[in-house]
Amino acid sequence: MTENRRVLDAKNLSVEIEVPSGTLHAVTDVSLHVDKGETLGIVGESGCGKSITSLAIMNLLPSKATRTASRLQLEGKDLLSLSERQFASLRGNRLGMIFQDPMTSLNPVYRIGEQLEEVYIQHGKGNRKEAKERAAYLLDKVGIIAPQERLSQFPHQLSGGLRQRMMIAMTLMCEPSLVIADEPTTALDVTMQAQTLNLLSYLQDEFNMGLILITHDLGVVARMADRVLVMYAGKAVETGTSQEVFDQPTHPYTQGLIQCIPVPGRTSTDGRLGSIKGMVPALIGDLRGCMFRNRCAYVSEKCHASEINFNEISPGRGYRCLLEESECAGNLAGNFGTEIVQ
Amino acid sequence: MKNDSSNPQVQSARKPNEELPALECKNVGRTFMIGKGFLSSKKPLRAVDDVSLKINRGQVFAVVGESGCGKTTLARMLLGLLEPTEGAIYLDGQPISEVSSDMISRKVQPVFQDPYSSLNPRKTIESIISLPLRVHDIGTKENRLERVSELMRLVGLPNRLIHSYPNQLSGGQRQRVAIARALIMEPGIIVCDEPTSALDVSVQAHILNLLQDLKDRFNLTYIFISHDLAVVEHLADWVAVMYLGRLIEFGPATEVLRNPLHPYTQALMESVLTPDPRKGLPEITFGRGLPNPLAPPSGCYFHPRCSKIKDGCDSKLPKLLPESDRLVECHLYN
Amino acid sequence: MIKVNTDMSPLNSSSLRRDEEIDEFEISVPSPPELMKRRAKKHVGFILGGTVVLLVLILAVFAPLIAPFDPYDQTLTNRLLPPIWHEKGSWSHPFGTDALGRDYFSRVIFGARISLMIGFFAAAVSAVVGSTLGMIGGYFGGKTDAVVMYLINVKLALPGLLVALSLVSVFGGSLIALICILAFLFWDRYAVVTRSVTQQIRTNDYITAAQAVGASRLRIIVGEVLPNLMNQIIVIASLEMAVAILVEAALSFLGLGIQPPTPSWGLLVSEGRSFMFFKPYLVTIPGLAIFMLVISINMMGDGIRDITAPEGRN
Repeated sequence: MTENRRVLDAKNLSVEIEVPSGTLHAVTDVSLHVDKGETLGIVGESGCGKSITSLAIMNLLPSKATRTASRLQLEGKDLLSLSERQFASLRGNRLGMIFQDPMTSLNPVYRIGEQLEEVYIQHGKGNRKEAKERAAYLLDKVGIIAPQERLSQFPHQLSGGLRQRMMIAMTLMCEPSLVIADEPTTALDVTMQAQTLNLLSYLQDEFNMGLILITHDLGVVARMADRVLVMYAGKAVETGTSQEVFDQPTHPYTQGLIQCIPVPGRTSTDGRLGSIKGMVPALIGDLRGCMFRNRCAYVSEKCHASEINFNEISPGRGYRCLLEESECAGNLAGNFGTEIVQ
Repeated sequence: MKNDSSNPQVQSARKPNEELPALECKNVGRTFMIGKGFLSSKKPLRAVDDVSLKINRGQVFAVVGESGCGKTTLARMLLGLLEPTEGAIYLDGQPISEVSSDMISRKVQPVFQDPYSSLNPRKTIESIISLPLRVHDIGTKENRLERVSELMRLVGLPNRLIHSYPNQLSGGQRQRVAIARALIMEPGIIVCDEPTSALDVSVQAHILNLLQDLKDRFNLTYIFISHDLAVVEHLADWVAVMYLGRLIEFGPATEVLRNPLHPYTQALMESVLTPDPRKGLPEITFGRGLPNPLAPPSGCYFHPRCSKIKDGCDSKLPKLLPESDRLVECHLYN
Repeated sequence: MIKVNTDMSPLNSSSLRRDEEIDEFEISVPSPPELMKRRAKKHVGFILGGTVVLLVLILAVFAPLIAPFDPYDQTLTNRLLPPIWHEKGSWSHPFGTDALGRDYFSRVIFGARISLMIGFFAAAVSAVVGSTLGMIGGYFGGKTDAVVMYLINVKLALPGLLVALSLVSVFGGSLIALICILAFLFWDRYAVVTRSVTQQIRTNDYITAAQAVGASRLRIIVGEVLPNLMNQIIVIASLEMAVAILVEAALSFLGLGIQPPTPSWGLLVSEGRSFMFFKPYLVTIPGLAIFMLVISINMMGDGIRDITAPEGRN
């Protein structure tokens, strides 16, 4: 019965965008899946393609972009053949989205209550009275005190953290089975971040939703996600449970990334942080070989020419590198240490 | 190159008195009048409230706090760009109000958070980095170009970027340009306002390493403002925690962060999400209700959100008192 | 101060990129001037408009060399000769002659001088005055800004053309007076735009950095703010130039602008008015000249806007 639990199933998802200088391969061959009640963390730095991946799933890509996939299913229903109109009826309904900046995601000229109710009514879930009740119920669930009062306020009257909670409430109005949150706490203060993530986690349990959490913050992913997908240069470079990925990072990029983070208690004031030399490549034109090769400590001749396939160590656990698992896995304390390579 | 060793002003920039603190604040406060328009009544906003600190040369002094705590206002005052409405700031022992802005700019320089807004998009890198030299009329055109190249080498920028524009550089490279600009006149003090918050993790590591190397090489003094406590613990010698404009805890960085005394600092430390998959999310026991800076709570500013509240917290303002070798402003320790 | 005791050699720790090493993946993004050049080459309106304006400019500058006759030279025996496209026309007077026997071609060419001079200087003066006020108001805010806003509001409340007419009747129709009056008509457009953009620029950290470096306010406004405004000022100026030319033509037509015998195109139209039905060329030729110059300037101005700020378009 695992198939019924599967909320999202994507295989070989690729996105190409036509830009003046050629074809930008924003996302190449990414496969992922999310089950009910599960959190998938997609982590990577800027330019890795994680946001485009979520836009591809939601069918919100720019007009110059083309999406290809061998499979893209939401609750078993095929998404590839849907028209934009059919998609629009899914968004906000079966599929919820939370973005980074709550101020620009909310319409400043409409009251909060109106915006919450509109989602409900538009998707034909009930009448205005029912919508109001649900809105008040959800505002309370997300921890906003005096929800009735808040319903008649405007977005600018709320603080950043409260606005984000309001966004979350709005996303839940129609009980989506999958929520995609793109950097939901990046713009928030650190204490507000912890509270908001707690809230998301609690709501996910409460409503048994699937959650895709997109972020560049490894700490957030380690603490929140059940499974992790590490992206680099448009490709999935490592997958696994968060425990597997953080305890035994296999791909050199994942290892490098973990080494870069100052951890209280681990790095001393005299030491230097680990770092990854070089810069992210531009993904335009004919791309061959491994996209990480200009920054990798283990680079060899083979890395330039061949197609680097994704090695699946076990279901749900894998990495994209020519090296054998034994050659690169778990080298956390090894080559990266405190050496600076640039 | 103008060799100004005879000019007393230049001399004192080069040889600061080693015993005096580089920067000192005595009961510094800054109040803004907030109100719209010409005629409506304005309300006072105490962005910085009674802050006293001593920043010694060669040390990294971190100021942490969340948005609205006043750290940016404090940074502006330390740069000499804003005058305190109460108290006084001393630069190398002299009251900052008596130091010419020329002199201040030779001693204290900033590095800002946003690499995209800290460089003028219409100027070349060479023009941006050499601005301080041109403003202070130092050197000739050739000398300046050479000097700019020197700085670029120092911060790790390839020389071929010298005539490029900011839009052609990555975030990390732009931040290096900002650092080069800050260093070109060899100031002793750099005020870093969240210098790596807007950068990717791998780029952040480079910039932090660079800042450390520069500090060691030139014995710089950093005032490091950040909300990222992990970075602060890595880099800082001293930490000051601010809340709603007040300094609520102060001490050596490792001690304050590993063993925080003030409930707010404790909550901040708990909120730091280290990449440890075994740990879940922290339970932050904050009361709800964010404070209104225009009408701060009575007594201790933090009491409405504090989980360790007791009698008197809502009526009396606690004092910043020493607790072992640290300072804390909390009734639990007063 | 530059050759000083501190060691500025590259840091030993290699948090430093080796100088000439180029990453195989490094992309080079073109610089803003380079990008503008590329866009300019592809922009049809800009090239077309710009070419015509350039031609008119050449005609105006070299008018004494190009015009076959002195535009003030009256030959009463040669009055109202038809232009070349009539059967009776001849190449000695390609545009024929006017009611006083003056060669029309020469008058039109010299008229280009008037139009361009007035258009250019009116736009330039109002650009300087308006932008300065706008920058000052936007940069300093507070009471200074209140004063600037007040001035702008007063100006906006004035009915432009009526004010121009009354001023002309007071100060006369000399070239300088016309330029000043036209400049007065347009300065507020610059002020509004520069004020608003300056307010936005003000919040950028590079302004704070310049202050921290000890730059004077003048230096910051001229050296840091102004370069970011230039594109917009030029766009407005080119479009305002077209309007200035039209207004001058209208004023001259009404007899309030350039006085005869100076060959302003508007004046030519006015002078030809009484003969309009018999000798339409007296009116159509200067009319077409005005039309062509104005539309070319507009195309060029639109082109400049597209080239310097393409994100404004969809």
